[in-house]
Amino acid sequence: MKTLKLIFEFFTNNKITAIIISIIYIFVLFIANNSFGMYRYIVYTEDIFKTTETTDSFYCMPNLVTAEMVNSSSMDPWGDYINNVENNARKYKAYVPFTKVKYFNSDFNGVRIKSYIYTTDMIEKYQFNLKNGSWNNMQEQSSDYFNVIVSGIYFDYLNIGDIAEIELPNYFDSSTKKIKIKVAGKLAEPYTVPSFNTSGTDINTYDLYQKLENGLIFVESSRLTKVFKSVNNCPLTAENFIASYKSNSSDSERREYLGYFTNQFRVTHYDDIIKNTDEIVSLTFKRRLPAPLFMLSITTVALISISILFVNKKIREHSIYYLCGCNRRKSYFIISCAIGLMGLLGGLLNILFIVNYDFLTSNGIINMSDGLIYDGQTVLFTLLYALAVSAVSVIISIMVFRKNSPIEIYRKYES
Amino acid sequence: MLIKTENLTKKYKLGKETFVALDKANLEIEDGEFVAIQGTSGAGKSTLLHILGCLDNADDGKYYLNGIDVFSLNDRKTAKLRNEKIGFVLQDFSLINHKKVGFNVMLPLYFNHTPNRQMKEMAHKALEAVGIDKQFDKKANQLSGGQRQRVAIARAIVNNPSVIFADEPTGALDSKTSKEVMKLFRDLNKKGIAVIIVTHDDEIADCCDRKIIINDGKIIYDSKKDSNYIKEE
Repeated sequence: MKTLKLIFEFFTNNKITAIIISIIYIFVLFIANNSFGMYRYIVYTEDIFKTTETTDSFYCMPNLVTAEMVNSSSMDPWGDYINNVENNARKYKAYVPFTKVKYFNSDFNGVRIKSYIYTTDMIEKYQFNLKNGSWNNMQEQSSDYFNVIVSGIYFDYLNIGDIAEIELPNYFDSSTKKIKIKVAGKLAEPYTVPSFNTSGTDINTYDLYQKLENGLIFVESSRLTKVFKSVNNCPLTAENFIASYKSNSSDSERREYLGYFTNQFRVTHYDDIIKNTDEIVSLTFKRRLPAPLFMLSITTVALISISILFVNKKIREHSIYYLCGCNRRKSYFIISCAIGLMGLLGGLLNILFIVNYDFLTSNGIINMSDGLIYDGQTVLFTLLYALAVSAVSVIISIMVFRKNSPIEIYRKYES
Repeated sequence: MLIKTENLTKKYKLGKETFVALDKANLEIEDGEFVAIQGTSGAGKSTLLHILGCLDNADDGKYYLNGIDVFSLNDRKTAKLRNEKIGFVLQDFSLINHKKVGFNVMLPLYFNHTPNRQMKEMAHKALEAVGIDKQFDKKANQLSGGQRQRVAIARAIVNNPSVIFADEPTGALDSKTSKEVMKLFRDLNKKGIAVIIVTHDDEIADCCDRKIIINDGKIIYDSKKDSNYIKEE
């Protein structure tokens, strides 16, 4: 306790400076992590895309909304439209089944959650990374519940095999239907799943996926469809989808197939998606990262300089401590702890934020960009950086402190 | 025997030359003595004080404090000795000016095992002994020179030391305050604490029971041993 008091005494008369530099350091480290997290996420989505799709794929976005769809009384107008498109596409020799995404909203313990429905083929293709459980568990058949993969910190308290309930709303009245779900697995961070909910020009891989921070993944089945029907509900199909050429189709067959789409859809080919993504990655690298890294460097240098300044201000005080029976090692310890605290505090607070990021975003406490990776690597980088900054500050400060012995200080003040 | 030195020598390197600040000083001081160490500027009195106060090491010789060979101790043990046995009073008071009087007096207690709850009590006792207990919560820089020196004395005695070393303790004070401070030292000495004052002032030295004169690093006179010294006019 006594030594702790002397450590905090180090900041007396330096409180405001210490607080300001610490706040700046915390903030700058946060910005750097944020920018780096964005960069890593875009690169991550590119990796997913390259792993799951081939140069035979192209992303289709509806070119215009037809009157037919607007007036449609269907509960899933885009689903019906795309099914129709696909039925007509089957006659082409280059046809392979589309990759489509379905989703719906439901209530879980009074909280609105989003769920995605993927086909078995899609799940096999994407090989979603699970932190617990197994995709094999999804094969289990039961008439009492649906096997699901849970995603996000909201479901952390559930164990594999636990059974819970969600409520499906009735589209026509305020009634709901409860359906049982069984936890087959938990999606690993960064909880990224295909959503296909973005249209536009210059589509890149970032646009194709979404972070499912509090949601469920179902496997498509006729039993699930029946349940929706029974409550006058229907999952919605995303208006965009991925089509592909059959691998052994000829050039002319591919041209013909592509021609079918370009009449009614905007089409972005795999190569263009990768090209657009590489541009974004490069832009992010050139625009987003340099400024935070520069600010971080400047702040680090400022922190080290201020540490030296503080030590110079406290040399006299420590010579008085020496007079009163404090040995040099204890002085080094006090100074090291005080200086180290300034460097470590920023790192620790950032780590605390990173570790609780999912909790804060999923509970709506903070609202940040979806496309961020905050994971163990981020924690490690932050910790190592904070330790390095602290170590350098401490070493330089001690070197400055040791330059003058207490006797030299007394003589200086005597004269 | 409280203090015993044998051939204590201290040298400083000034460029290529070596300056002998203390030259084979032999000294014996008993418990409870009231000693003045006198000499002109640069004679070696502060050097002697710093060594006796375990603030500095000698280049040669031996130093025993309460029978302990001081030079055989490591930094931690020397600091412990300094904390438990020695109190310092310096010309510039050596207080932490922006901190309260209480904190300054308690400072030695931060470096030993005194329980937290006893620290304040001991500080109050020490301040009472020097007559300024009411200033406990004032900042040191709010006090007069005389009061600050009393605070320094209180800090020096808070741990019940065996000896107080005072280096020109009245150097920054007026004559009235100087007399008051010297009276304080006398009162402390009567309680059994040895007081060793380094001074160039004859009046201050005359207040002490024993006078030791240093010149060019050598002890040239000790009133305990040598009564035939005639001071040069």
